[in-house]
Amino acid sequence: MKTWQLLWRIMRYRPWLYALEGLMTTAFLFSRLAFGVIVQDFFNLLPAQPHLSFTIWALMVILAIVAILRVGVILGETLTETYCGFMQKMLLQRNILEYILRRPGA
Amino acid sequence: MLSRSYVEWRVGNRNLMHLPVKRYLALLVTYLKPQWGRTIVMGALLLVNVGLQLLNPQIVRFFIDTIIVKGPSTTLAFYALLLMLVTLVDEGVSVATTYLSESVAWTATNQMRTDLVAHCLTLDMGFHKAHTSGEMLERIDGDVDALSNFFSQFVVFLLSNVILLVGVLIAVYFADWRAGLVLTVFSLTTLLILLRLRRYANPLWVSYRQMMATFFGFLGEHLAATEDMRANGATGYIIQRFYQLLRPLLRSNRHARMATSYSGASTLTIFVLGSALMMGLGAYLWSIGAITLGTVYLFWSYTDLLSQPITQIRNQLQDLQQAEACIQRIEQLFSTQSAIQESEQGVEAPQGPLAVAFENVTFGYNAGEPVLHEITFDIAPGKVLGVLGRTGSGKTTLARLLFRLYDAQEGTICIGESPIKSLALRGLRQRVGMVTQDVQLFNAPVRDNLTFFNRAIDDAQLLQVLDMVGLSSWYQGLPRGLDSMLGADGQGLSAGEAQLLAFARVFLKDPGLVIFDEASSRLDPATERRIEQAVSSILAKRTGIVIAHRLATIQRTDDILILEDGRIREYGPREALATDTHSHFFRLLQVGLEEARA
Repeated sequence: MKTWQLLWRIMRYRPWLYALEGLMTTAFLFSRLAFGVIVQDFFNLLPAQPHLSFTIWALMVILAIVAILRVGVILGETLTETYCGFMQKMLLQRNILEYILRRPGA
Repeated sequence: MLSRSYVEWRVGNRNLMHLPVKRYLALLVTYLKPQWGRTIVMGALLLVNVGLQLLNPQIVRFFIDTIIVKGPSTTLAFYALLLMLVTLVDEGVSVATTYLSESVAWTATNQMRTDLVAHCLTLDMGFHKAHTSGEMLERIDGDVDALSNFFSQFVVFLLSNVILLVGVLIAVYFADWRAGLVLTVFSLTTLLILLRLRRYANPLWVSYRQMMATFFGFLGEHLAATEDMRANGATGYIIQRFYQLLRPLLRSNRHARMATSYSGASTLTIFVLGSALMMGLGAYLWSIGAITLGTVYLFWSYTDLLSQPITQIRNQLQDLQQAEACIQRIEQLFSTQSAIQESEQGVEAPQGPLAVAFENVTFGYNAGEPVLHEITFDIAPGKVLGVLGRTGSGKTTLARLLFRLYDAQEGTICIGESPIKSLALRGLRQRVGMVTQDVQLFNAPVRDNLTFFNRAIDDAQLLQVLDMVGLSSWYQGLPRGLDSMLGADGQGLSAGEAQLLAFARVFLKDPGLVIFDEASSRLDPATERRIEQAVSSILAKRTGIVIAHRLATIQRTDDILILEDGRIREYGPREALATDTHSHFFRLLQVGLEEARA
């Protein structure tokens, strides 16, 4: 069996769990992109306005909100990763154990 | 759920809580001292790394301010090149640091593994019976492995991150004291919060690692007994047990990981809030004309940079959580004392054949459940005692007591006139030889299997001994002589040959007392003859205890001891018992020994 075939079969063991795990990881990575966009807006707006405007403060508030939303994503990601990783590890361990127990003349 | 397990853990392991810093330092000093040179180089490289990281945002700040004031110019190209150079050197230094720290860590942890294995070998049989090989594997290898981070990074990385943190704060103070003050308060608050979070996950990791040890113990035990398991159709049961063990393991893993994740998420969030704070402050200071736009960038960049030391410090503390768990368990193992305590000034057993005396010896593997009751007998030097009895009557236990693998709860055992507790342990085991039914072989060359890795014994002596036990023709058939490998499960040796090899070991050791547990399985007549010759020559100048299964072997004994349920059923000179028609021994000789054992 080729490596990708093995990976594909492992993925198919709990496909929804695996998909959820992928979704969570992506959401976490996108949160970093969101921070980058907000900081970019900040540095673009600042020299354009000689006095502090409402927009600058609004950006700070958005930054804080995204940060708090991300906590949920991180916790969810840990939970799915724990289950996903554990399930896959368990499946492989179980199969190896069974294989050893069945192997002739072990 | 989380707090409940935490409370349970606390109640169960109160004495395992928080290690004082002194103990960490003691451990570090012990294992890092031998390689202090490399440790210092590693520290120096880390300092360079910190300096370059501090330099980076300053270059960008000048770049921004120059471009705003002067517009595009050649100075900008210079800044850009400098930035590239700093980044490249920084990467190079990082690689070198990682290499060095891994190498230091492996050297330290390998030494620790060696020390632990050596310590475990001194522990008594009771300890090894209570701990499966899989559990020992996890405790010696798994725990030490988890410590490698502690050695490679903890002190040096923690220190360099603290320096980076302080460096950032100083740089911000230089740019604007108000910003410096705000950032200092922010950093200290964050660290305090993180230090509180740290205590939360630690006990959960301890219990997780303990459960892993149990799990590996289960696997090891069942893999070792694969043949029996399959023969008895227990495969389905094992898989079911496997699932049963996994369930609490998953729960424990989830608790520990979630607790760690809480502290991780908190760190990230606190840091973003810090960024927002510094951006707001920068915007305000810029609007009143106190700082340039480049400095606003500098504040943002340094706050961003702060995430590194803060997360690193958190990671180090997290590693420390795991390391703490491992250190506690390793220290526990190191502090486990053998139940067999050697007397302060051990007496050496005398040379030549040894006298043996048991006086009212009572022993049980568990106190209160004796398997030997008030055993009294003695053997004069050079005489041979034959021990008979059914399986489980206590014959093997008798032999174990002579080696001091266990200590008897009552009574005294004397060897060569001195109680064995007063003898030097090493000397005692050197003067007592044993040949068991299942000979333990190592996956090592024939030479090491004979000498127990003692290189002081020369080959000529080995060949002479092999000839003495009748293994010379076997030896001539070996592909690489004494360097031929033997399998741990006796590959390339028949049961009889393995016993002859054990006799060869006894000859090399030259003890004054030999315990011979005769193989109960039938051997081919040629091998049997060779074994008999070997037994004769071994017992010629030594005291012997023979756990006999064959009539021929019994014929060479002087006295007979028959055990039944751990008590002496009959004891006396062989010839007298053999002629006494009322004796149990007489009846045994009539019906045959095979029936007696059944």
